[in-house]
Amino acid sequence: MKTLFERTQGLTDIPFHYCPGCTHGIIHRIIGEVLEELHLLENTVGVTGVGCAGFAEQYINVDFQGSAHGRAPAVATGIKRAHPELVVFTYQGDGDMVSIGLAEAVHAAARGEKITAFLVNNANYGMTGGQMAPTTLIGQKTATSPYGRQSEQSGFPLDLPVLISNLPGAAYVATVTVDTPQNVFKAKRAVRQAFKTQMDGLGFSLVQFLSTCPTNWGLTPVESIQWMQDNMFPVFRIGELKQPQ
Amino acid sequence: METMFMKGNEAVAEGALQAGCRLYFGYPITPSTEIIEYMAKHLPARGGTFVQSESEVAAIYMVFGAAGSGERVMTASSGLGISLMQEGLSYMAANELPAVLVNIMRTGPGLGGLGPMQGDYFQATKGGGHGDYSLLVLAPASVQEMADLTMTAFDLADEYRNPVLILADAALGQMMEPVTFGAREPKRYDKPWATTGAKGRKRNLVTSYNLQNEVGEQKSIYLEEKYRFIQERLQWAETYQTEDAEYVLVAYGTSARIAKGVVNALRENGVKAGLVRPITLWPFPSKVFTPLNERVKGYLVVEMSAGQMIEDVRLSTEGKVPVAFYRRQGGIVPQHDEILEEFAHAFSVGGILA
Amino acid sequence: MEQRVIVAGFGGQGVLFVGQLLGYSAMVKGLNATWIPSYGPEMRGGTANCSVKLGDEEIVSPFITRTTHLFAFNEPSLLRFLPSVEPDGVVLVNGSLIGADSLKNVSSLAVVVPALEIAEQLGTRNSWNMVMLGVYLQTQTLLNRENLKQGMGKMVGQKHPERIESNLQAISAGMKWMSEQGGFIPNEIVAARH
Repeated sequence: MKTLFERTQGLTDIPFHYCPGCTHGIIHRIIGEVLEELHLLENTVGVTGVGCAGFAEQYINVDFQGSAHGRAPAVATGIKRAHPELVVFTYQGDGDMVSIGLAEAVHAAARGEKITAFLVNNANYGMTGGQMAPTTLIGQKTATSPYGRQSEQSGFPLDLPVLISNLPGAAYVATVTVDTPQNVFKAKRAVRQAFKTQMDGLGFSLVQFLSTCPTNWGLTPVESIQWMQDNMFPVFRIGELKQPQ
Repeated sequence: METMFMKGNEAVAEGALQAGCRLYFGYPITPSTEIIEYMAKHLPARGGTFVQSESEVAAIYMVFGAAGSGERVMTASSGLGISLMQEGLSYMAANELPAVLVNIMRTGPGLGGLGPMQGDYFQATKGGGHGDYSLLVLAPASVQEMADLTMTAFDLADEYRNPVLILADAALGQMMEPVTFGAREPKRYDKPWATTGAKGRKRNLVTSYNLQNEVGEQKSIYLEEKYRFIQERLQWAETYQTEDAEYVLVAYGTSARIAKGVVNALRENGVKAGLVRPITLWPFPSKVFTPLNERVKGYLVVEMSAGQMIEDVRLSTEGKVPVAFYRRQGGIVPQHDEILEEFAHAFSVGGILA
Repeated sequence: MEQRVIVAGFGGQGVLFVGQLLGYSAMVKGLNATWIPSYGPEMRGGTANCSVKLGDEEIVSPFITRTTHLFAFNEPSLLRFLPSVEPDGVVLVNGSLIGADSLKNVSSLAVVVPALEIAEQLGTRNSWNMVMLGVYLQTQTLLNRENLKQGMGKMVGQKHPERIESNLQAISAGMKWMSEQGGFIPNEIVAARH
């Protein structure tokens, strides 16, 4: 009998605990599958930040270091500089990478650090209960923008990949979504391209995933997908923003 | 064997290289800059890796990453920068990551000035960051010790799987003395816990996430026992003329250099004085005080702070012996004559002023 | 025996270099030595100073309270550090910048050296501070010219042999000038009469 589908070795056997409709599970699986397909499971180290994304260390089946809020790119720098032969990636949420860890993220890219960064952007702080993030949309209600985000008070959403794609040290930058099977395949291609960029020693690579947070958005999983498509897709620039020359 | 005339900061850096330090991550700050400059110049030439980080926050996490991957790594800064590193140090202690860090203390609080001070003692020895943990803290008092204790620090870090802090001050960092480097092969420690890629073994996790209270308590008890074990084993101090001493000065680092001169002056004047110079500030060498407490008439603590180590001295004397105090602050070192005067005043010993 | 030397002057006068050279020279002779620069605002521009201790016994503190040798390269330095000089200490004065008026209150031996003039005669104007070192050599017994030569070699390496050579010439000129002053009389201002 021919095996048509197997669970990837790139994930551990621990069942995901994420909320229904959250896309962390899909993204974990994409990364796990690509690591397995590229034969990287035995020479990769992942680095998590803090928040829901911090749980990636339990599920993606490689060596992991758990760092503090925002510091994953610095930790990954330390690992990669100590062991250039390893593949090193970070897995952070938007509050983690775009707010408190902006300096570490931008400088890792500016140095052309040969690491791969994954940014899961769900437009709010998920684990702490849905507060405003730098990625929160204008008018979006959160626990700390109860009347909707006002630009006069809180500025504008920050699209980190656009910022980073301008840096010479960044070699591959993409923003993807996992809202449809077709887009999941596109996302997987981006993840593969990001790891290959690192393996070829070309510089910093970043993939942003636009993601949902049904629990904190107060929507069903299906409504969340619709809300993301209607509201986030026009704000964050989707596609490959920068490819190796 | 080679003897060089070096600044304390350079001796720290050279000591680290001779101890097999492979990576240095840091951010420039006076009065510690000779360390980062020496590393930038010499570490790559000797097969290592140097990165100037965007901040002290980033520096300590780069150290975290490299230490978690099993390599000998260090950073250095001055009080302000060390303050920024406290979060990372708490994480490193929680993850039992070995690394060496150096604080060339300047004056504080706030921006302060560039002169020597010892105001970071509490920060260094009482945790500094969040949670129950300790750094191992070594206090050199000469340029030779800046080198020697840095080399020792790498071994202690690996031995006990804990960050080790070299606590020195601007005077020790900037002063030059002859320093001798002997032939020394760095010790090698197995690090099966390090994240080096899960080849032929189960995957390694370096993490301090404990959302279950029961797991958290077990981890806390484990760390508590580890620290108690270190406290039992590692109490280092130099004792000078304490065998028959009736009065003992207590000081570390630069203050101890000055205090030693005061002890000599007191002896020349017929006063039986001695010196205890703590070398490990954590663990504090309380055991050294136990026999002295039975016969000493008084202790005089000399510090370049408002009075920080004196608390540990008082605890170590168990209230049995009076403890006097002399300090200068703000970048001014205690003067020889002033200490003599304070001694005479505190212990009513007349006729010792030259 | 312990020498407690303060070298003080403007930034750019080679204050730290002269002090470090004494430290290196003591080290190559097998003596103990400490060198420590000044702290505070005067580290940037303005005046600079460093303290050097040399001796055959353990040097406990690197800080100086009683000075045996003061190199005063400018007037503010002379006025600042004079009170710390021992009664039998030596004050080496840069006579090219400091007038005899400033020496009224000196109770130690003060040697006023026309350092710049001597260096100019050699054709190496910048080596005037080495002339001062040559004078210093004649006032003490711990270090000699050979020690300075070896110390300089250790300090600047073999990169600039011509610089070492011109420095040594200036040191010799300073030694010669001092020996021409009729020897070395404590508590007297030597050559202040010029």
